[in-house]
Amino acid sequence: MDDLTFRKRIYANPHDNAQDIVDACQDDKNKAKFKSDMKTFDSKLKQALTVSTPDNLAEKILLSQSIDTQNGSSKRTKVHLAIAASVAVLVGVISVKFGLTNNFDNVGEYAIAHHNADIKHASDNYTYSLAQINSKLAAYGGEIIDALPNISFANTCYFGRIKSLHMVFQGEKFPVTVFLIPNETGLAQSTNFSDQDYNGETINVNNNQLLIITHKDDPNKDWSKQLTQSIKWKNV
Amino acid sequence: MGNFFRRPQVSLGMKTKQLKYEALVRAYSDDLYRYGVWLCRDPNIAEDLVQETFLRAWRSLESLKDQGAAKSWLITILRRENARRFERKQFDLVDIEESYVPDTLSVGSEQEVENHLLRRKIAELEPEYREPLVLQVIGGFSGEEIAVILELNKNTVMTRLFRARNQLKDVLEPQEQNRGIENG
Repeated sequence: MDDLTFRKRIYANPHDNAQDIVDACQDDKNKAKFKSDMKTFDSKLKQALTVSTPDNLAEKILLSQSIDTQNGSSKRTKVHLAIAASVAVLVGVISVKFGLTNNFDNVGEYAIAHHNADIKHASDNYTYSLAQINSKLAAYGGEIIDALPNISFANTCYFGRIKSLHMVFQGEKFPVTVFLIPNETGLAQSTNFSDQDYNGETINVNNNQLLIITHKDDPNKDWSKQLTQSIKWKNV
Repeated sequence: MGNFFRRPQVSLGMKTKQLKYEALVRAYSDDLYRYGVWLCRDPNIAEDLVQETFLRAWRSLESLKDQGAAKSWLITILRRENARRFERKQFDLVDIEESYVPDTLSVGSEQEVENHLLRRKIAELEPEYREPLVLQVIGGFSGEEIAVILELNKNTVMTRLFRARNQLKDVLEPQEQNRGIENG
Protein backbone atom coordinates (compact mmCIF):
# COMPACT_ATOMS: atom_id res chain seq x y z
CA MET A 1 0.00 0.00 0.00
CA ASP A 2 1.43 3.38 -0.92
CA ASP A 3 2.16 5.87 1.80
CA LEU A 4 -0.49 8.40 0.80
CA THR A 5 -3.33 5.86 0.72
CA PHE A 6 -2.19 4.45 4.04
CA ARG A 7 -2.12 7.86 5.71
CA LYS A 8 -5.49 8.84 4.33
CA ARG A 9 -7.04 5.62 5.60
CA ILE A 10 -5.52 6.06 9.07
CA TYR A 11 -6.50 9.72 9.28
CA ALA A 12 -10.06 8.73 8.45
CA ASN A 13 -10.02 5.95 11.03
CA PRO A 14 -6.98 5.37 13.27
CA HIS A 15 -8.57 2.14 14.49
CA ASP A 16 -8.85 0.63 11.01
CA ASN A 17 -7.85 -3.00 11.43
CA ALA A 18 -8.54 -4.22 7.92
CA GLN A 19 -6.13 -6.90 6.74
CA ASP A 20 -4.34 -4.64 4.23
CA ILE A 21 -3.65 -2.08 6.95
CA VAL A 22 -2.37 -4.74 9.35
CA ASP A 23 -0.10 -6.12 6.61
CA ALA A 24 1.21 -2.66 5.75
CA CYS A 25 2.12 -2.05 9.40
CA GLN A 26 3.98 -5.35 9.58
CA ASP A 27 5.95 -4.58 6.44
CA ASP A 28 6.87 -1.02 7.34
CA LYS A 29 7.93 0.20 10.78
CA ASN A 30 7.19 3.81 9.89
CA LYS A 31 3.64 2.96 8.99
CA ALA A 32 3.19 1.09 12.26
CA LYS A 33 4.51 4.10 14.16
CA PHE A 34 2.26 6.47 12.25
CA LYS A 35 -0.77 4.39 13.12
CA SER A 36 0.20 4.18 16.75
CA ASP A 37 0.75 7.98 16.91
CA MET A 38 -2.63 8.58 15.36
CA LYS A 39 -4.28 6.31 17.90
CA THR A 40 -2.67 8.33 20.68
CA PHE A 41 -3.88 11.52 19.03
CA ASP A 42 -7.35 10.04 18.79
CA SER A 43 -7.51 9.38 22.50
CA LYS A 44 -6.63 13.05 23.08
CA LEU A 45 -9.35 13.96 20.62
CA LYS A 46 -11.83 11.82 22.49
CA GLN A 47 -10.90 13.50 25.74
CA ALA A 48 -11.41 16.94 24.19
CA LEU A 49 -14.76 16.01 22.69
CA THR A 50 -16.00 14.55 25.97
CA VAL A 51 -17.36 17.78 27.41
CA SER A 52 -18.86 17.67 30.87
CA THR A 53 -22.59 17.09 31.04
CA PRO A 54 -25.16 18.98 33.15
CA ASP A 55 -25.84 17.63 36.63
CA ASN A 56 -28.79 15.26 36.84
CA LEU A 57 -29.36 15.31 33.09
CA ALA A 58 -30.99 11.87 33.02
CA GLU A 59 -33.23 12.77 35.98
CA LYS A 60 -34.37 15.97 34.31
CA ILE A 61 -35.24 14.09 31.14
CA LEU A 62 -37.20 11.48 33.09
CA LEU A 63 -39.02 14.26 34.91
CA SER A 64 -40.12 15.86 31.63
CA GLN A 65 -41.35 12.52 30.40
CA SER A 66 -43.27 11.85 33.63
CA ILE A 67 -45.03 15.22 33.30
CA ASP A 68 -45.79 14.49 29.67
CA THR A 69 -47.24 11.10 30.59
CA GLN A 70 -49.36 12.51 33.43
CA ASN A 71 -50.81 15.13 31.14
CA GLY A 72 -51.51 12.44 28.56
CA SER A 73 -53.29 10.13 31.01
CA SER A 74 -55.37 12.90 32.54
CA LYS A 75 -56.39 13.75 28.99
CA ARG A 76 -57.48 10.15 28.39
CA THR A 77 -59.46 10.05 31.65
CA LYS A 78 -61.15 13.31 30.77
CA VAL A 79 -61.98 12.07 27.29
CA HIS A 80 -63.49 8.89 28.74
CA LEU A 81 -65.55 10.90 31.21
CA ALA A 82 -66.65 13.22 28.44
CA ILE A 83 -67.78 10.29 26.32
CA ALA A 84 -69.66 8.76 29.25
CA ALA A 85 -71.32 12.08 30.00
CA SER A 86 -72.22 12.56 26.37
CA VAL A 87 -73.84 9.13 26.17
CA ALA A 88 -75.86 9.86 29.33
CA VAL A 89 -77.00 13.14 27.90
CA LEU A 90 -78.03 11.51 24.62
CA VAL A 91 -79.99 8.78 26.37
CA GLY A 92 -81.75 11.16 28.72
CA VAL A 93 -82.44 14.40 27.00
CA ILE A 94 -81.79 15.96 23.66
CA SER A 95 -78.89 18.19 24.15
CA VAL A 96 -78.33 21.22 22.04
CA LYS A 97 -74.69 21.28 22.80
CA PHE A 98 -72.55 18.25 22.24
CA GLY A 99 -68.84 17.81 21.78
CA LEU A 100 -65.53 16.88 23.22
CA THR A 101 -63.50 19.82 24.29
CA ASN A 102 -59.87 20.24 25.11
CA ASN A 103 -58.61 18.47 28.20
CA PHE A 104 -58.06 21.90 29.73
CA ASP A 105 -60.24 24.87 29.00
CA ASN A 106 -57.85 27.62 29.80
CA VAL A 107 -54.21 28.33 30.24
CA GLY A 108 -54.51 28.73 34.01
CA GLU A 109 -55.99 25.26 34.54
CA TYR A 110 -53.22 23.74 32.50
CA ALA A 111 -50.54 25.72 34.31
CA ILE A 112 -51.78 24.63 37.75
CA ALA A 113 -51.96 20.98 36.64
CA HIS A 114 -48.45 21.12 35.20
CA HIS A 115 -47.16 22.85 38.32
CA ASN A 116 -48.75 20.25 40.61
CA ALA A 117 -47.34 17.37 38.58
CA ASP A 118 -43.92 18.91 38.69
CA ILE A 119 -43.64 20.11 42.27
CA LYS A 120 -43.40 16.52 43.59
CA HIS A 121 -40.41 15.73 41.38
CA ALA A 122 -38.42 18.90 40.94
CA SER A 123 -35.21 19.09 42.86
CA ASP A 124 -34.77 22.36 44.72
CA ASN A 125 -31.04 22.29 45.25
CA TYR A 126 -29.85 22.89 41.72
CA THR A 127 -28.77 26.39 40.80
CA TYR A 128 -28.77 27.84 37.31
CA SER A 129 -26.40 30.65 36.50
CA LEU A 130 -27.77 33.94 35.23
CA ALA A 131 -26.08 33.31 31.86
CA GLN A 132 -27.80 29.92 31.54
CA ILE A 133 -31.21 31.42 32.26
CA ASN A 134 -30.68 34.35 29.97
CA SER A 135 -29.68 32.15 27.08
CA LYS A 136 -33.00 30.29 27.53
CA LEU A 137 -34.96 33.53 27.94
CA ALA A 138 -33.35 35.03 24.84
CA ALA A 139 -35.51 32.81 22.61
CA TYR A 140 -38.52 34.70 23.99
CA GLY A 141 -36.86 38.10 23.92
CA GLY A 142 -36.31 38.27 27.68
CA GLU A 143 -33.29 39.10 29.75
CA ILE A 144 -32.92 39.19 33.52
CA ILE A 145 -31.31 42.51 34.40
CA ASP A 146 -31.82 42.60 38.14
CA ALA A 147 -31.21 40.26 41.03
CA LEU A 148 -33.82 37.51 41.40
CA PRO A 149 -33.98 34.59 43.81
CA ASN A 150 -32.22 31.36 42.99
CA ILE A 151 -33.64 29.48 40.01
CA SER A 152 -33.66 25.74 40.66
CA PHE A 153 -35.35 24.57 37.49
CA ALA A 154 -35.36 26.02 33.98
CA ASN A 155 -36.29 23.87 31.06
CA THR A 156 -38.27 23.72 27.91
CA CYS A 157 -41.59 22.04 28.66
CA TYR A 158 -44.50 21.32 26.42
CA PHE A 159 -47.53 23.29 27.45
CA GLY A 160 -50.06 21.09 25.72
CA ARG A 161 -48.50 21.21 22.28
CA ILE A 162 -46.94 24.59 22.84
CA LYS A 163 -43.30 24.93 23.70
CA SER A 164 -42.79 26.89 26.88
CA LEU A 165 -40.06 27.86 29.27
CA HIS A 166 -40.72 26.47 32.73
CA MET A 167 -38.81 28.02 35.63
CA VAL A 168 -38.92 27.49 39.38
CA PHE A 169 -37.68 30.26 41.67
CA GLN A 170 -36.80 29.42 45.24
CA GLY A 171 -38.59 31.95 47.41
CA GLU A 172 -37.93 32.31 51.11
CA LYS A 173 -40.80 30.08 52.18
CA PHE A 174 -42.23 28.56 49.00
CA PRO A 175 -41.06 27.89 45.48
CA VAL A 176 -42.63 29.96 42.72
CA THR A 177 -43.37 28.43 39.34
CA VAL A 178 -43.19 30.61 36.26
CA PHE A 179 -44.20 29.63 32.75
CA LEU A 180 -43.37 31.68 29.72
CA ILE A 181 -45.61 30.78 26.80
CA PRO A 182 -46.57 32.44 23.53
CA ASN A 183 -49.89 34.28 23.35
CA GLU A 184 -51.22 31.89 20.72
CA THR A 185 -51.91 28.67 22.59
CA GLY A 186 -55.34 27.73 21.33
CA LEU A 187 -56.50 27.89 24.96
CA ALA A 188 -58.37 30.77 26.52
CA GLN A 189 -56.22 33.16 28.52
CA SER A 190 -56.91 33.42 32.22
CA THR A 191 -55.81 36.47 34.14
CA ASN A 192 -56.27 34.94 37.58
CA PHE A 193 -56.59 31.28 38.46
CA SER A 194 -56.17 29.10 41.53
CA ASP A 195 -56.69 25.75 43.19
CA GLN A 196 -56.86 24.98 46.92
CA ASP A 197 -53.17 25.72 47.52
CA TYR A 198 -51.95 27.97 44.75
CA ASN A 199 -52.80 31.27 43.13
CA GLY A 200 -51.90 32.05 39.56
CA GLU A 201 -51.65 35.25 37.62
CA THR A 202 -51.00 35.99 33.95
CA ILE A 203 -49.06 39.01 32.76
CA ASN A 204 -48.72 39.82 29.07
CA VAL A 205 -45.20 40.65 27.98
CA ASN A 206 -44.30 41.21 24.33
CA ASN A 207 -46.03 38.43 22.45
CA ASN A 208 -45.82 36.13 25.42
CA GLN A 209 -47.71 35.33 28.57
CA LEU A 210 -45.88 35.10 31.84
CA LEU A 211 -47.75 32.82 34.22
CA ILE A 212 -46.75 33.14 37.85
CA ILE A 213 -47.93 30.52 40.34
CA THR A 214 -47.41 31.23 44.04
CA HIS A 215 -48.44 29.41 47.20
CA LYS A 216 -51.41 30.96 48.97
CA ASP A 217 -49.38 31.23 52.19
CA ASP A 218 -46.37 32.83 50.53
CA PRO A 219 -45.68 36.01 52.53
CA ASN A 220 -44.15 37.64 49.46
CA LYS A 221 -47.09 39.13 47.57
CA ASP A 222 -44.93 41.07 45.15
CA TRP A 223 -43.68 38.28 42.93
CA SER A 224 -45.31 39.54 39.76
CA LYS A 225 -44.03 43.06 40.33
CA GLN A 226 -40.55 41.79 41.12
CA LEU A 227 -40.47 39.60 38.02
CA THR A 228 -41.77 42.26 35.64
CA GLN A 229 -39.25 44.76 36.94
CA SER A 230 -36.32 42.38 36.75
CA ILE A 231 -36.83 41.08 33.23
CA LYS A 232 -36.27 43.30 30.23
CA TRP A 233 -38.08 42.42 27.00
CA LYS A 234 -37.40 43.02 23.38
CA ASN A 235 -39.12 41.73 20.25
CA VAL A 236 -37.64 38.62 18.68
CA MET B 1 -62.48 -5.56 51.09
CA GLY B 2 -61.41 -7.13 47.86
CA ASN B 3 -60.32 -5.09 44.99
CA PHE B 4 -63.31 -4.77 42.68
CA PHE B 5 -61.44 -2.93 40.09
CA ARG B 6 -59.61 -4.83 37.42
CA ARG B 7 -56.09 -3.61 36.97
CA PRO B 8 -55.87 -1.88 33.63
CA GLN B 9 -54.35 -4.11 30.96
CA VAL B 10 -52.18 -1.30 29.84
CA SER B 11 -50.14 -1.12 33.05
CA LEU B 12 -47.75 -3.97 32.23
CA GLY B 13 -47.09 -2.61 28.77
CA MET B 14 -46.58 0.85 30.21
CA LYS B 15 -44.20 -0.50 32.79
CA THR B 16 -42.11 -2.29 30.19
CA LYS B 17 -42.09 0.84 28.07
CA GLN B 18 -41.06 2.93 31.06
CA LEU B 19 -38.19 0.59 31.92
CA LYS B 20 -37.02 0.47 28.34
CA TYR B 21 -37.16 4.25 28.17
CA GLU B 22 -35.29 4.77 31.43
CA ALA B 23 -32.56 2.44 30.22
CA LEU B 24 -32.24 4.47 27.02
CA VAL B 25 -32.09 7.76 28.90
CA ARG B 26 -29.44 6.52 31.29
CA ALA B 27 -27.36 4.88 28.59
CA TYR B 28 -27.40 7.61 25.97
CA SER B 29 -28.32 11.03 27.43
CA ASP B 30 -24.72 12.05 28.13
CA ASP B 31 -23.40 11.13 24.70
CA LEU B 32 -26.43 12.67 23.04
CA TYR B 33 -25.83 15.88 24.97
CA ARG B 34 -22.16 15.94 23.90
CA TYR B 35 -23.17 15.39 20.32
CA GLY B 36 -25.69 18.23 20.69
CA VAL B 37 -23.06 20.56 22.13
CA TRP B 38 -20.75 20.01 19.20
CA LEU B 39 -23.63 20.23 16.75
CA CYS B 40 -24.98 23.59 17.89
CA ARG B 41 -22.07 24.81 20.03
CA ASP B 42 -24.32 25.99 22.82
CA PRO B 43 -24.64 23.96 26.03
CA ASN B 44 -28.08 25.39 26.85
CA ILE B 45 -29.58 24.74 23.45
CA ALA B 46 -27.95 21.31 23.50
CA GLU B 47 -29.71 20.50 26.78
CA ASP B 48 -33.06 21.60 25.36
CA LEU B 49 -32.41 19.56 22.23
CA VAL B 50 -31.71 16.46 24.28
CA GLN B 51 -34.88 17.03 26.32
CA GLU B 52 -36.98 17.37 23.20
CA THR B 53 -35.29 14.38 21.58
CA PHE B 54 -36.13 12.12 24.49
CA LEU B 55 -39.71 13.39 24.72
CA ARG B 56 -40.20 12.55 21.08
CA ALA B 57 -38.47 9.22 21.64
CA TRP B 58 -40.94 8.44 24.45
CA ARG B 59 -43.90 9.27 22.26
CA SER B 60 -42.72 7.03 19.45
CA LEU B 61 -40.86 4.36 21.37
CA GLU B 62 -42.98 1.68 19.68
CA SER B 63 -41.34 2.47 16.39
CA LEU B 64 -37.94 1.42 17.74
CA LYS B 65 -37.91 -2.28 16.90
CA ASP B 66 -34.18 -2.98 17.00
CA GLN B 67 -32.69 -2.12 20.38
CA GLY B 68 -29.21 -2.20 18.84
CA ALA B 69 -30.14 0.72 16.61
CA ALA B 70 -31.34 2.87 19.54
CA LYS B 71 -28.38 5.21 19.52
CA SER B 72 -28.52 6.07 15.83
CA TRP B 73 -32.31 6.39 16.12
CA LEU B 74 -31.89 8.97 18.89
CA ILE B 75 -29.18 10.82 16.95
CA THR B 76 -31.51 11.01 13.96
CA ILE B 77 -34.29 12.49 16.13
CA LEU B 78 -31.88 15.02 17.59
CA ARG B 79 -30.64 16.08 14.15
CA ARG B 80 -34.25 16.56 13.03
CA GLU B 81 -35.01 18.62 16.14
CA ASN B 82 -31.96 20.75 15.47
CA ALA B 83 -33.06 21.32 11.87
CA ARG B 84 -36.51 22.39 13.14
CA ARG B 85 -34.81 24.97 15.29
CA PHE B 86 -33.59 26.70 12.14
CA GLU B 87 -36.96 26.39 10.44
CA ARG B 88 -38.63 28.12 13.36
CA LYS B 89 -35.83 30.68 13.56
CA GLN B 90 -36.61 31.01 17.23
CA PHE B 91 -33.07 31.25 18.36
CA ASP B 92 -30.56 33.92 17.59
CA LEU B 93 -27.41 32.54 16.14
CA VAL B 94 -24.33 33.86 17.76
CA ASP B 95 -20.62 33.58 17.21
CA ILE B 96 -18.64 30.59 18.34
CA GLU B 97 -16.62 32.62 20.78
CA GLU B 98 -19.74 33.77 22.58
CA SER B 99 -21.78 30.65 22.29
CA TYR B 100 -19.41 27.94 23.24
CA VAL B 101 -16.94 28.35 26.03
CA PRO B 102 -14.79 25.33 26.59
CA ASP B 103 -14.17 24.22 30.16
CA THR B 104 -12.27 26.77 32.16
CA LEU B 105 -8.58 26.56 31.56
CA SER B 106 -6.65 26.42 34.75
CA VAL B 107 -2.92 26.86 34.53
CA GLY B 108 -2.20 23.21 34.82
CA SER B 109 -1.02 20.14 33.09
CA GLU B 110 0.06 19.87 29.50
CA GLN B 111 -2.99 17.70 28.96
CA GLU B 112 -5.33 20.53 29.97
CA VAL B 113 -3.61 22.91 27.60
CA GLU B 114 -3.94 20.38 24.80
CA ASN B 115 -7.59 19.82 25.61
CA HIS B 116 -8.24 23.52 25.51
CA LEU B 117 -6.45 23.99 22.18
CA LEU B 118 -8.19 21.03 20.63
CA ARG B 119 -11.63 22.17 21.75
CA ARG B 120 -11.14 25.59 20.23
CA LYS B 121 -9.99 24.04 17.00
CA ILE B 122 -12.85 21.51 16.93
CA ALA B 123 -15.35 24.34 17.47
CA GLU B 124 -13.82 26.12 14.48
CA LEU B 125 -14.06 23.12 12.16
CA GLU B 126 -16.63 23.32 9.39
CA PRO B 127 -19.80 21.55 10.62
CA GLU B 128 -19.58 19.09 7.73
CA TYR B 129 -16.21 17.91 9.09
CA ARG B 130 -17.04 18.20 12.77
CA GLU B 131 -20.22 16.18 12.72
CA PRO B 132 -18.88 12.90 11.31
CA LEU B 133 -15.88 13.20 13.62
CA VAL B 134 -18.08 13.49 16.72
CA LEU B 135 -20.20 10.58 15.53
CA GLN B 136 -17.10 8.46 15.07
CA VAL B 137 -15.16 9.38 18.22
CA ILE B 138 -17.97 9.97 20.74
CA GLY B 139 -20.71 7.90 19.12
CA GLY B 140 -18.44 4.99 18.16
CA PHE B 141 -20.17 4.67 14.79
CA SER B 142 -18.50 3.06 11.78
CA GLY B 143 -18.08 4.84 8.45
CA GLU B 144 -21.10 2.98 7.04
CA GLU B 145 -23.28 3.92 10.02
CA ILE B 146 -22.26 7.58 9.82
CA ALA B 147 -23.06 7.53 6.11
CA VAL B 148 -26.60 6.33 6.89
CA ILE B 149 -27.14 8.90 9.67
CA LEU B 150 -25.85 11.82 7.60
CA GLU B 151 -27.37 10.53 4.35
CA LEU B 152 -24.04 10.66 2.56
CA ASN B 153 -22.05 8.00 0.77
CA LYS B 154 -19.32 6.27 2.69
CA ASN B 155 -16.45 7.67 0.61
CA THR B 156 -17.58 11.22 1.34
CA VAL B 157 -17.73 10.41 5.05
CA MET B 158 -14.20 8.94 5.05
CA THR B 159 -12.84 11.95 3.15
CA ARG B 160 -14.42 14.32 5.67
CA LEU B 161 -13.02 12.34 8.58
CA PHE B 162 -9.57 12.48 7.01
CA ARG B 163 -9.82 16.24 6.49
CA ALA B 164 -11.12 16.83 10.01
CA ARG B 165 -8.20 15.01 11.65
CA ASN B 166 -5.76 16.52 9.21
CA GLN B 167 -6.79 20.02 10.31
CA LEU B 168 -6.76 19.15 13.99
CA LYS B 169 -3.46 17.35 14.01
CA ASP B 170 -1.68 20.61 13.20
CA VAL B 171 -2.84 22.10 16.48
CA LEU B 172 -0.64 19.88 18.56
CA GLU B 173 2.21 19.57 16.10
CA PRO B 174 2.40 22.82 14.19
CA GLN B 175 5.99 22.15 13.32
CA GLU B 176 5.24 18.88 11.61
CA GLN B 177 4.04 19.43 8.09
CA ASN B 178 1.81 16.81 6.61
CA ARG B 179 3.68 16.76 3.38
CA GLY B 180 1.78 15.82 0.30
CA ILE B 181 -1.50 14.82 1.89
CA GLU B 182 -3.26 18.15 2.22
CA ASN B 183 -4.64 17.89 -1.27
CA GLY B 184 -6.13 14.45 -0.81
